[in-house]
Amino acid sequence: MSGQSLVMFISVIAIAIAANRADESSSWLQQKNLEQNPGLSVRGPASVDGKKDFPLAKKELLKHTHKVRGPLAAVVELVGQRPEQDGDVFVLKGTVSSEQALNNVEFTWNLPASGVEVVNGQTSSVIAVLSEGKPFETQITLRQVGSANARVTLRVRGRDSALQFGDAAFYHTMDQDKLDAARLELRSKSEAYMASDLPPTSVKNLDLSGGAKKEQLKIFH
Amino acid sequence: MLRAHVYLIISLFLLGACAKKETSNTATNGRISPTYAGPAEAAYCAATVPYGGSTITVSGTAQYVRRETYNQPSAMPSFTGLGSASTSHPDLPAGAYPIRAAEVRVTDAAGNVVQCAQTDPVSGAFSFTVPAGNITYKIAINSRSAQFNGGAIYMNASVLNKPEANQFYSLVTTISAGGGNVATGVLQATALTSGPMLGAAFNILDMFFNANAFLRNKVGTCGATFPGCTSVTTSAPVPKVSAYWEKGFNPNDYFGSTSGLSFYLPDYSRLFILGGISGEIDDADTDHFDNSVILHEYGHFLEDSMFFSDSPGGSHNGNKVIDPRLAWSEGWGNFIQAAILSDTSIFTTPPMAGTPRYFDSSGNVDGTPDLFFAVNLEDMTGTDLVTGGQGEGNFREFSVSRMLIDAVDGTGAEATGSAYIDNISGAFNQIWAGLTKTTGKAFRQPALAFRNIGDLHLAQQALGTTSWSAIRAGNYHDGNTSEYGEYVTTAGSCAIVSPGYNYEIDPTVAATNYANSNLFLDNDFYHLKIATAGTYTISLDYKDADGTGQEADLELYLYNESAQFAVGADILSRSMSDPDSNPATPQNETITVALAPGNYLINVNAFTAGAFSAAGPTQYSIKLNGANLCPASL
Repeated sequence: MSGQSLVMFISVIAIAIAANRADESSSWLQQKNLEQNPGLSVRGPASVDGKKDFPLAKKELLKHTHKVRGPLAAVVELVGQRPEQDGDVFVLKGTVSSEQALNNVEFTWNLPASGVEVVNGQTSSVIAVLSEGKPFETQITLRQVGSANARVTLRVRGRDSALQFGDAAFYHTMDQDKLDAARLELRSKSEAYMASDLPPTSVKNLDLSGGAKKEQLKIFH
Repeated sequence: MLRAHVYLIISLFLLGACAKKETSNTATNGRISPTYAGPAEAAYCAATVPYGGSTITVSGTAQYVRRETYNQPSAMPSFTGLGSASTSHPDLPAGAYPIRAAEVRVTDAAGNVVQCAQTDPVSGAFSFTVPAGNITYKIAINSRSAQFNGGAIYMNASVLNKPEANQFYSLVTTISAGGGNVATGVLQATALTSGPMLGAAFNILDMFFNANAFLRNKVGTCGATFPGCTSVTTSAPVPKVSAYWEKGFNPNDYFGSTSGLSFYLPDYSRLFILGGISGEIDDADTDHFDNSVILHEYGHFLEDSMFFSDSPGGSHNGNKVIDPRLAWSEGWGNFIQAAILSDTSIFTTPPMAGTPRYFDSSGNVDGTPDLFFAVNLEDMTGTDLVTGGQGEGNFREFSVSRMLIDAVDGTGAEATGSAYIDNISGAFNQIWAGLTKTTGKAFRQPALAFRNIGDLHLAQQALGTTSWSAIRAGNYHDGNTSEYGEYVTTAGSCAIVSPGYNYEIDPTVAATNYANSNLFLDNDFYHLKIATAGTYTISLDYKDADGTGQEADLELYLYNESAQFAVGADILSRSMSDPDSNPATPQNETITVALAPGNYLINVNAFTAGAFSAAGPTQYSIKLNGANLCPASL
């Protein structure tokens, strides 16, 4: 790269970073405004400058249906070092979130009878109010006992009148990396296969008796 | 009859598969993609092989065991979730059911097929003849069904392990033909987690049997009642579906996610049913005994194969305002499972007798049992309520389900709006006609696009039968597409709201950005059909509706036919100018775009910027090349 090109490259990067910061600043101001004015319902002037530069979602490679899930979600993450041998102490963070406000959401860390023991932290509790968009976090410190894999589960349960929801997330003390790697490898293979399997044109679907053919673009994008 | 020494083994049909059976924690080995074609499935054993000379008759019965779903049973009031794998459990017994209309394949020691049969569609019994002699035969009851001996087709379905192998599951026994006729007794596919758990595969197959039986019962003569309706009979059955299930495997692994997932893959006629998570079953989310989930996914297959789905896909929790195409598709899936599981023509004692529900379990009594989702599909409760008024029901999955339930359940059942009554019952054939006809505004009209419950309402009204106005109102439905995907053309007719303006919007939900704006209250959507390729100008003119100086900040978006909301790849063009802060001045958004012939979705969005900063009632008109776009019939 020549000196001039290098200068131009650095300039472009600098401009991009500056623009990004400007976006972040604008976004931050909007967020701050919201936090300071919760539940705004006063109708103000028609124009709100500089607020429309928001990111659009990316299209999924494969369109498919999902089974209906309740609003509750549980996630478990390792904080710091993973256990590698008998006696290692490690920390798991559980995050409980909901797509709607719920009261009295129960969470429980289910530990196996052997393989792991609690060093510190609550194994179960009730979240009195779980607001939409405001996840609840809990941590538990555990000690690996022996060298065999142990599965730790974070379970959450909630109710909304007659509706009942739940979710669970797992952490495998010795196998998590292997499981994650296998899953990511499969996703990678799957995406590569689907990307290479793009059909060139539309696909004729069923010609049902007595009916017109329906023509439908295949699901890849 | 001499009863031979019979022993039962359970395995995958192919020995190779047995050797490679994946029950490890990963279970991702050998997998590539849910769309992978894989090897061809073995040909169906479709006809009896005739034999002369000395033969013996082999008979028996095939059963599968299913862990049942319990929701606070009287014997254990605190219990919710899947019960035992044992049929003799004192409080939470499993059920034993016939394996109906399943393939029976008989092979000799060399693996040659020597006979074919099919289990009885009621009892699961089977009977066939094979040559007598000192011969050992293997009998395999397979997890699939198709036409046998040119007779009735009870279902076209296969339950397979994975697309990369396309192997069906087999309940296997061997017999010796040297001692006369053989009675195998009851061959049972168990639900034990410690075994191959074939009961799960046969339960999935049996749900397909139930779905097909339901359709034959309800719409076997639909075409005679409503010309153009697709009747489902044993000679004109539903097309083939393949369900992929493997013990311990989570189909979400294909997408790199850890949460449990069952799904339907449109255009491939493939269901993927959750068999566990990372090899876990007793403590993890599974769907192989969740008949609500299995039939919900089969409902998506029916959409895809028997009528039409425009669903954009995506996640949903039942109780949110979502894209009406998604609300329709998922609401239909919830409905069809409840309709089947509560139907007395299919079940002597329907699993959901009384109140139609949707159950999704996790774990079972041998581990950590739970219900991850349990919802009453008859009555709205708690925050599961429509709050935005008439029309919002078209945007809500459970509202769609409940409206459809009200159309088929007994007239004694209450509609969900307290001020309304449910005066409709037994109208599944009207729903089916609205979905399968190609005329009369029905779903299969080629001209339609962006299909949602509004289209079904229009189709139902076109049938000229009973009015559904009470159950529509009771579930907050508009009986048309006025809130989403209404067809507009320059030759249409507008109800003018004020001179020069044809529509009005009054945004009332503060969204922080476009992607999470309320689709019902803060957006309007119109179906534009382009017949000739060219460059088109679409404009949006708007003004303050009530002179209070609070006109909304309206934006104009044009989507392609896929039209996933706020997905960049589907937005062909957009105009998002800020108003000039003078409500007395009419505002304008304009886009000019080259369009090929096809269907497009115009979206008028009221931008609220996280507050009602610009959210007064606002009138607008939309124009194509300067001419007003107004509603018209397709």
